[in-house]
Amino acid sequence: MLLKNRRIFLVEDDIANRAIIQMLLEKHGARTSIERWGTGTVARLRAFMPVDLILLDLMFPDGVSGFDVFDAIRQEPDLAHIPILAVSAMDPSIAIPRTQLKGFNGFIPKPVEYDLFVEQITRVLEGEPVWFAGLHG
Amino acid sequence: MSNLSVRSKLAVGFAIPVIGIIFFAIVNVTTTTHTLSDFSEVADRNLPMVAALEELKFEASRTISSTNETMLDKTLGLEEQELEDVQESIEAYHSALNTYRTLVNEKSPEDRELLSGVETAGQELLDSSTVFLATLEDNASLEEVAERRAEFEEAEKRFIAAIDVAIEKEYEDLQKNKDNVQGHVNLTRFLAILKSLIVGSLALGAGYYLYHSVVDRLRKLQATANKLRSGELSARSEIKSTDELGQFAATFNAMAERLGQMIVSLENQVAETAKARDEAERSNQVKSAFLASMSHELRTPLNAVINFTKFVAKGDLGPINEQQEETLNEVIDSARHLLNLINDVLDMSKIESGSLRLFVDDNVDMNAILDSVVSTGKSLLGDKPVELQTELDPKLPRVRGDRQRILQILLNIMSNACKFTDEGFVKLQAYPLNGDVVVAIEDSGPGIAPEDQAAVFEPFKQTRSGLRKGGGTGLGMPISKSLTEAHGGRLWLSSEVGKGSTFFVAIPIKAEHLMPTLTTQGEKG
Repeated sequence: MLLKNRRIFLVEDDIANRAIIQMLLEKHGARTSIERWGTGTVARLRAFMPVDLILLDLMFPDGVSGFDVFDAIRQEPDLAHIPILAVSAMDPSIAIPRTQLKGFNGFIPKPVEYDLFVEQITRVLEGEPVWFAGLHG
Repeated sequence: MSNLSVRSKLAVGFAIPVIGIIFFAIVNVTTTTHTLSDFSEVADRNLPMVAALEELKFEASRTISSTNETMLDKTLGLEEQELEDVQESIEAYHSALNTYRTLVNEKSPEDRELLSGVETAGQELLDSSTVFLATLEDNASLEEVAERRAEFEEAEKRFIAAIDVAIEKEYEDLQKNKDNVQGHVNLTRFLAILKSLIVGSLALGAGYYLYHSVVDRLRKLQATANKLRSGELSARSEIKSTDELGQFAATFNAMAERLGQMIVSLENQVAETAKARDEAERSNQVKSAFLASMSHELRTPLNAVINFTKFVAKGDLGPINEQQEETLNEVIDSARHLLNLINDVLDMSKIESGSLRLFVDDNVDMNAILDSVVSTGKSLLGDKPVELQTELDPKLPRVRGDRQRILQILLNIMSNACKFTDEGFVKLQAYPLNGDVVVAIEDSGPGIAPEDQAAVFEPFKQTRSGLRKGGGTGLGMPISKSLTEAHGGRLWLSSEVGKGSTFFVAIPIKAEHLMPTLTTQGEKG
């Protein structure tokens, strides 16, 4: 129960990943809200407040970029304090430098590692940035 | 004229003035010779002649005067007889006449007439002198004496006249010769000036012509060469003559043509090579993109399989019995194995297409990696009677490299060692050496025969024992070797059949060809 009562907001399109992440997080006691990206996502994020952590993919359909979503969230003064963790299938050697520059609180590649994911979430919640490139490069 | 060879032109150009000089030298010699002979004439003939004639005149005068003296003495009644004087002067006269005669005969035969004139007149003079003197002895009458005296005077006049004629002629000759000499000297001087002018003009003319013919064309050729040098490859010489310069120009043009062709051909080759290289790069990029997307596409469903199955196996979706757990674990193992295969094949593809990218960190903690390796080794060995020994330098320097890949390399070697050793030990050593961190993994397994050792690092080649053990992809070692070498390091083995094997990995602490991708923080595998 490493994530007891933590509230985690996930913006993720892929069904399998959503299921896995949700199962992992809720197994450890977290409350999750999972959304696809769309026009109402920021509103729904606000509605889920207080939020301890946002998990954000970097590549969305229709050419939408996670970096733009990042900006959209950070622009909102009441949401700007929430740590945002990138969880994406983008090549880590490209994604990690970009997310670091942008101001993300960390990067975890997809598919997530079952045995590591929760511990990584815990560290981010404790304020430690996690830059993980995966077990295979 | 431009079909004469340059050599001929030069020869002619130099020959003409030389011939001119020789010609004028000959002319000079000729005129000088003439001058000399004129001068000789004067010296050898005219002057002696004049001298002889003057002598003759003098002696004749002496004869005349001594005759007159004798007469006078006689007339005055003086007793002295001067006949010896007269005799003497007559002898002297004859001697002088001899000289004159000899000269005429030897040097001036055309004056024989004059000679005989002088001789005759002289003889007459002598005769009349004798006759005149004879009147003294004979006590001739005054009238006879006067007559004889008159004859004597006449003879004297005639003789003087004859001599003077001869002398006159000699002086004329002398003047003529003098004029000749003067003329020849003038001619010589004139010719010398003329020669200088002519030869000088010829030399200048030759020089000017040669300049035009040779130097001018050389300048044009030089201009063409300069055009070529500054990149105008179509520049050619217009010189078309058949002499040496023309031939050179033709060769020059041929050379320029060849150079032009070579340059064009090289440029084409460069363009084609660039195109080929661009295509190869594009093809590589396409491959990399494909591999990257395949990588993701293949792994995602498998991870889903593994993760979901784990969920169930761990009882997160409800309690399961032991048999169910075991079965699900088999599923997970197979899926894991499949995932490993996919990862290895994709890695191998990346390596072979040159699109492997390292994720370089400047501060890779080797001790931490080795801890993971050790713990993996322990779990791989399980219950086997194999002792896991370690001799690890506790303060290994931080290295520059891809942390995940270094772990991959060492795990691969460790898992091989653990897989193939059924009893004995597996020893893990790590130490810094000469700018590298060296990791040596020794096992007491079956060993690898020398003829099989090369194949260890070749893809898909496993030894028989390896195949028996199963579980490997046959790609682990080649991938590890490529990864090590990408770090600037070396991977090698030392082994004997029946005596086990030792694998060595040397990773440079600060490989210069690696650029740190970023500094990672808080990474744990």
